[in-house]
Amino acid sequence: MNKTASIVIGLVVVLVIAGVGAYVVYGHGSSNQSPSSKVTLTETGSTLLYPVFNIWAGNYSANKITTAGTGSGAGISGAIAGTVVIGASDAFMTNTQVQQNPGMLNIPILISSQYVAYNIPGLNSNTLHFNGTVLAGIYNGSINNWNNAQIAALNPGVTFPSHVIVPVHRSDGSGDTNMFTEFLSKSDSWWNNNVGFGTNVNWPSVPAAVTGQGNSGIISQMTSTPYSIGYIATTYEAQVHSAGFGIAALQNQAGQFVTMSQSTVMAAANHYLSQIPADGRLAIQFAPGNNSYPIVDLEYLIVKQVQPNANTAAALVAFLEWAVNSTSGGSQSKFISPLNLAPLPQAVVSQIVTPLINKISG
Amino acid sequence: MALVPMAIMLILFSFLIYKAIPSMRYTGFSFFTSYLWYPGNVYANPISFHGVMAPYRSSFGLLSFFVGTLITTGFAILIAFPVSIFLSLTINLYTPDRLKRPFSVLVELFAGIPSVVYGLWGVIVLEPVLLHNIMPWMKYVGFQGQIISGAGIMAAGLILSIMIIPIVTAVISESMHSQPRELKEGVYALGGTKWEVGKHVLLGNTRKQIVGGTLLGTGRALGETMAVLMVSGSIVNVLPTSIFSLTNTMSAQIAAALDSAFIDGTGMNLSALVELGLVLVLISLIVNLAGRAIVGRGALRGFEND
Amino acid sequence: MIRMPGIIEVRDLNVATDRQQILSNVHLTIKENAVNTIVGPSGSGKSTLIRTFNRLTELYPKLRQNGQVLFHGKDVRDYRVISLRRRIGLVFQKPNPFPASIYDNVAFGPKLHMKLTRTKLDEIVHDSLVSAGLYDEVKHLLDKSALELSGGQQQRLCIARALAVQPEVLMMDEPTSSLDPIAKGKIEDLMMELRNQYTVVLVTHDMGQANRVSDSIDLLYNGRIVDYDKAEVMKMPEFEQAKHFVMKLAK
Repeated sequence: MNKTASIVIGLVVVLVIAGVGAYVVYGHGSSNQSPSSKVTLTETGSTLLYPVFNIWAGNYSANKITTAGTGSGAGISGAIAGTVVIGASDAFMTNTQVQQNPGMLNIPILISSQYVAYNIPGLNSNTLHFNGTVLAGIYNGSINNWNNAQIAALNPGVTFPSHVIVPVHRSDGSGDTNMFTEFLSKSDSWWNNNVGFGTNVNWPSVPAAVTGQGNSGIISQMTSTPYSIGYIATTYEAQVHSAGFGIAALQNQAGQFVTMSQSTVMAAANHYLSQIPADGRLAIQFAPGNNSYPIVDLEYLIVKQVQPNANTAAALVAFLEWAVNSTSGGSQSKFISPLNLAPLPQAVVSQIVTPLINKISG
Repeated sequence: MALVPMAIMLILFSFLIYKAIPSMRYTGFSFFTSYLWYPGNVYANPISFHGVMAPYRSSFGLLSFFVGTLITTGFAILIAFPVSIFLSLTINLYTPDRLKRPFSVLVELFAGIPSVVYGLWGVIVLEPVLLHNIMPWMKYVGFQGQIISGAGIMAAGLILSIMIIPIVTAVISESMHSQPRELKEGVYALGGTKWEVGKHVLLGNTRKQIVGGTLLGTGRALGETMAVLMVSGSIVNVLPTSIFSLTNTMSAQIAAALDSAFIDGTGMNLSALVELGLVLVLISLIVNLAGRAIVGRGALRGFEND
Repeated sequence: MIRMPGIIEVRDLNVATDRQQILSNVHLTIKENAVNTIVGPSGSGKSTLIRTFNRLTELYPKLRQNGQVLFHGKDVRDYRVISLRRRIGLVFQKPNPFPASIYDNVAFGPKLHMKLTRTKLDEIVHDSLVSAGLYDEVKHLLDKSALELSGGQQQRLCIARALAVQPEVLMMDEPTSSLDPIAKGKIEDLMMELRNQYTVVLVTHDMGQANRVSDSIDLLYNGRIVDYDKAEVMKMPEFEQAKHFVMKLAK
């Protein structure tokens, strides 16, 4: 009895700690009227957007913003449960979630992008060419050696070593996985039919595959594992360069090999402009247009259409309008360029985002 | 009063079981026999099976994580067991009295280091050393298999062993220390050496506590998450084929796959993780209870108080 | 009184810790084939004194020692400690059988020191148990755990265990203090038999026992050997408490 009791007490302690922790993270979700009548907008979710929210929280003075980097899934579920006002997510809600929670809005807010990087001794200073089909082959194990003919065909004049390819993917659920697998799904039919996309997917069994936790985990695994290839958010540009990885040029829908830059990312977003549906949910990888970088993604803020009160609704609307404003608001280049994030094109803001924001009521 | 913790435990278990029911209905017995953990395509239309909704092409089997847990824990015990016995004998026989206390405190301090720090050390120091210095040498002396990365079974097993050595050593050393002085002096008085005291009194007389302490260490290794997550390679859908293979464990998988489970509108991913957690809790509970039952409360007192 | 050189001679022995003097200027002679008894109240240093003979004091590094203990005229520190302890056995106050069978307890010492055939080992175990007066009681139980024996039997088993390595000197540190009167009587009888073959050193604070079994008695008080024949010593206030010992000894 005593032994059991001590184990049980241990469990209780864990539960209490978990409870307090949950309270700290989520407990202040409802918007409180502070003495100065400022509204507190709570945010949690995407770790990619976390540094942006930190900058915004320090520069937005109209109301108070609190932020936490807990993961996109936690952002979506927090917003649905109402424990936070804003759930930040790299992925939009699934159809199932939308049907179950019709009162939620997926508001595009920024554009992120991704590198495909490699650590091949002797070739890291080359800008190697890849396309979705070859990458899908590497990640499903059908292309398992660097001297594969399909790789050579994309890179005339480059001599590849005969060495097993080590594909690196994320071990944790991640918006980066979502972004990368959306690109593979759009550019390779096998991948689309058999794996699909998401923050975590049915990774094919590849014995040589390695995983890493977070972008920093991917970078450290690739550093210690030569002949590896992986996908890394461009937010981590400095770390990718100091690790000395090569960065790939990727083939877009028009067949061109393009490297990441603000202009190639914006070009991709502009080409998808006409296709973005009214609910904002669209994968914008593998864009048409000669100059479009193929792995770009819309970042989302998930919010309830009907807010608990008018004050919170008004504060939220004001904040969202400020956040997407690229001339005087949160999407100014001084805030987001250092993180390699791009602002939404003005047309997307006026045609898609503003109508979504205007649905918010209190 | 004793009923309160019992009730809380009951509530916790009921909750876990309730949450795991959809996964049990969906996966059935294949949860234990399949090594494929497929979250499915959560953006495709969900399917309905046995009365529950699940993502398209999803399937959940714990085998690769279960095998990984067993192998890494076994590897850790294989290292920690002899090291802990060696340390315990050293503390009890060959350490001068004035150094005994600092030495024991040092060992206990290691038990207090957050596991993420062990993981960090594993990634930065251990993995490169394994990959560049140790694994090629092992291959040279006849170990088979493909070297992919410094991460994997060896890194996870070594880190786990370092983490559990303080616990195992504390239990064993304490039980050796509590051997009656008369027994030790009895051996010396017959002309026995320190080694003979160690062999006949300290080892021969503490077998139960050695087994129990090792089981407690096993319990810790089974549940350890963060450090393993960082150095195991966290591979999915692959069973290990050699000592160099990457691996994954039940606890690490729960931590890694939790956030994306929230994006699954059917809730099946979450339910499968809860079922995985339930299995882990049961295994850990059995191992810990066994350890405690064998050691007995007396021998544990010294280490629990610290 | 003229003292003949003994098998063990203690000369001007001092033992101390950082805080406390345990033995002061001890001179003592242990005579061969006799029961040599050291009496004194608890804490007088008796146990420490005999543990200098087989160097068991070395287990306690805090003890500092000077002066000499001679065994066969040679300083005990000049012997190999293992052979010294084989030749000078020790039976403890509290019976301390190993948690093993009766047989293995007795065979333990011989196995440490010699490579023996099973037959030879059986013979040693038999003889030792006979010498310790225990054989008849345990001859059918040799494979039973020693811990199942009574306290008195356990103590005689420990004596058998000490005898099994064929020592020259058998030291007993208050061997009967935890035993009932019947068990105590058996061990006292045993001591008197053993002196024919061994030199016995007995430490006790039981005056009656000392009188019953001893060939010679020394009184240790506050770490000093006190000559209880000298009346003037007894008048010193620090020996006030020792008087009742001396009164009993004088009878």
